[in-house]
Amino acid sequence: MNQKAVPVLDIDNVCLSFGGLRAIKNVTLRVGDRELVGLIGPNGAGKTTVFNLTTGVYAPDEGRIALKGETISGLRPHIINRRGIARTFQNIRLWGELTVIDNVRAALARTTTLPLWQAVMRTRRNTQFEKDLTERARALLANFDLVRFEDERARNLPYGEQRRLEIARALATDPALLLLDEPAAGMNTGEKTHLMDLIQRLQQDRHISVLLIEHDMKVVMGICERVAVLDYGEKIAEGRPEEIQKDPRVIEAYLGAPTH
Amino acid sequence: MEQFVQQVINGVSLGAIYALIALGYTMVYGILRLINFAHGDVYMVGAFAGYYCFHWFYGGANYGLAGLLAALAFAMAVCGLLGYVIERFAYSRLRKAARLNALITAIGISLLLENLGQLIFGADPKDFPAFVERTTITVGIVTISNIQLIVLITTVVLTLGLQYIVHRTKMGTAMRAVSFSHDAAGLMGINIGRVISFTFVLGSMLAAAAGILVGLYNPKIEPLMGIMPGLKAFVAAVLGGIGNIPGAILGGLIMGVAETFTVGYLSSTYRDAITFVILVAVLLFRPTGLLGTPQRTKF
Amino acid sequence: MWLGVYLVILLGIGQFLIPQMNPYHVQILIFIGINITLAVSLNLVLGMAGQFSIGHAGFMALGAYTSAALSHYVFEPAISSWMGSSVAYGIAQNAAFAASLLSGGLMAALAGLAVGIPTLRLRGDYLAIATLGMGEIIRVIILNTEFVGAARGFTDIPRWTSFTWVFFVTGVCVLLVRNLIGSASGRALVAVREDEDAAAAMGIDTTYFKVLAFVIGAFFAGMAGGLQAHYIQYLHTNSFTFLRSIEIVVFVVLGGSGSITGSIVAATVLTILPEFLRVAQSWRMVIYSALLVVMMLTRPQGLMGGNEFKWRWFLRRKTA
Repeated sequence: MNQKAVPVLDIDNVCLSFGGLRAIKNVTLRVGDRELVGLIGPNGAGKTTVFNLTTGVYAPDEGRIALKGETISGLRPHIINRRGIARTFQNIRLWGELTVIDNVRAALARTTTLPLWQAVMRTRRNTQFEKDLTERARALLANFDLVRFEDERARNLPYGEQRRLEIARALATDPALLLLDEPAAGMNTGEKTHLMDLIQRLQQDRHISVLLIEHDMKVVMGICERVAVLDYGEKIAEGRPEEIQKDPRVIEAYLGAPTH
Repeated sequence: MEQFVQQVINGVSLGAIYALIALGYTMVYGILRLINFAHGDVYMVGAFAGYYCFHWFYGGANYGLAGLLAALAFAMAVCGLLGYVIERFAYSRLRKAARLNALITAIGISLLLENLGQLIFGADPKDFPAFVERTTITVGIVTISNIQLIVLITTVVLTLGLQYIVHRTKMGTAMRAVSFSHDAAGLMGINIGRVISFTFVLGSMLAAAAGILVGLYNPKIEPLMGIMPGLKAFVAAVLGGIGNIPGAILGGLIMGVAETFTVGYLSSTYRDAITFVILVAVLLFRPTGLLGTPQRTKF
Repeated sequence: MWLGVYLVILLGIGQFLIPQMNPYHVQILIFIGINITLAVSLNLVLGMAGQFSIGHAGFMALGAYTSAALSHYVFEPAISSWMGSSVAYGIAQNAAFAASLLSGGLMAALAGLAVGIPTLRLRGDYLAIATLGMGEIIRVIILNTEFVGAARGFTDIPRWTSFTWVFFVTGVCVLLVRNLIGSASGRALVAVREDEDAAAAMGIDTTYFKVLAFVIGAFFAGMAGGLQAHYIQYLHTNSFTFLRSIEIVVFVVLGGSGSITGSIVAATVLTILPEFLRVAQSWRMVIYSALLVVMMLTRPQGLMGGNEFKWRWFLRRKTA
């Protein structure tokens, strides 16, 4: 595990309860610079909740979450995004009525929106701004082979394309850390291979760290440098993919206790 | 001091009526997540049902308490039917629709009932028959009228009846299941449509009772009488925690007392304003209501 | 640029065409303009930003009363006392009217800010009721304010509204909303509507945008209220009840929420329709509400279904 001075993401002994239910218990997880870490565990283990905590949907009851050394736990989601964390969702949450390119443009513009009156009065500055925005959006879409769908309403896209669009949109926010929530769900083998390549390329080209929730073990084993395992809200194992595969606690969590 | 206690009694009587209407709102919301704007107008229909029952069936003769009970039953039947029809022909089609559409449809039905009422019943106020002679009873420092007693007793009886249905019958359990999750309940073999209809009928019957009781209390009835009480009862339901049955009762009582106190101690011009103040306060500070549990919504 | 041309056309119509017309028709046109402004401004909040605001009449009332009070107490006495020639008077009147209207709009916008910030945290039905409640609270406060007539109503408002004025405001409103929607901020608004949580996760300050739409909507509602006040010359809080809010919501929904052209068409049709139904006066509201219910059950997406009118539609058929 390579850790330059400060980890990109530091989830430190975090706890969260919903009413009486303790959903996350003392979870500690670190993601280093340009690392690709996997987060796995049975359904309901709390993986998406960890994402939600990281992106500010929930504030932890105990513990602290830091991005590049600065505390982000307790901040509002859009602030956290601007600090450098972007995500995709387990159930695709695109802006259906917006076109493909608008989905990306809306995410691109969030920190560089011109003063309102300029937009309304259609000034030249605004026209130039829109042109730049469109070019950058297209460049991003090109990376994901989505330019041909540019003017299509996002809700009309085929499933695989929607997943790619969600990742493109997340990248538009220029993150240091990308959280991917089951990006391979519902894909066939070919698409999965493409996705794995894509994620690895992204990580290297754009200098970002990735935290990945996935159920498909081939994907996890294929690209993750390190894997953490969650069960009933607790981290039960962490290590290299090969180690995790053989860890008895992990096997028990997925398959149940062995009956001798 | 006596004025205070007197106000409390008045407030509780008024609150009991709001509670009866609020129950309908809360049950429907619990089961459909729909604010049935038309509910206040069902209450109005109940009052008119009592009026026409008296004039058509009794021919204007006064049959005392027995007559009142029969009129009550009649009104409840009429409104139950009305509730069923509304649900069946309008709301059932909107179960999967966008929330705004359901809201607007409910408003549309409310307007329809009000305007039909004006057309059919006539817009001018009518005198609700006094089924029972008004008398008052003085107990120590307070005076309570027999009408208020009737209101309170009827409300208690109906509420107990409702509690029994919801907690001790199969249908009641089904109602609770459906309000929790349509899909899960359906998978358990519950006929959602029937449960929803039943809930509507039940709520409408309670509204009808409220209509009759109000008629006794304030003898002037007119087709638009459902608007304000409907709104107040709705706020009561929200105050208690919408979807929560004991909450509706608590909310109703609080609303009744608050209104009576405002009129008594402040000024009658603020009678309706207090409703909105309570509404906004609840929504801003405790949107899940007094008896609702503050939920952290799972994503 | 274009707006200037539009204004000139309006002035032309106002000066030459309008005086020739039957005053009854002019009145209808004026109400159409006012209703379009109301519908489009609400559409911004309801259709485009996706916020269930159903207390729009409250903002209208604030704008109406504020501008009326200013005109009646301040401007009219001022200009009638020291304006001599009719040309100077005309200019002064229009300037005063502009000031009044803007004040009304700003007052409403301020209220929008005050109401919006706390209530826009709520979602869906809760927001709807909150806005409904707020609208009513505003109305009740006005109802209890003595110097604007309280329960008696506010009379003697100078008649400064004209066809040109109304449609100028309407034009500005439509243009502003259209440009806003086509801009980056507009996309942000729609993103908030489509999926607010995803929007926040992508860095969009959802509160800012929701409040923005709300305030702009309130501003134009206030302007519309001011226009109405200076036409009917009489104000009573009974014109600004929940029912009026619902009427405006109906314009938006029936036209297709999210569609500016839809709002324009719906507002126009629904302003004219009651005039035709005057014959069956007592049945009017019954038909209206029945129509509403039927519409919601059969074509809830409204007339335009969220689309805008495109000249393309006609062209396609020609090339076929």
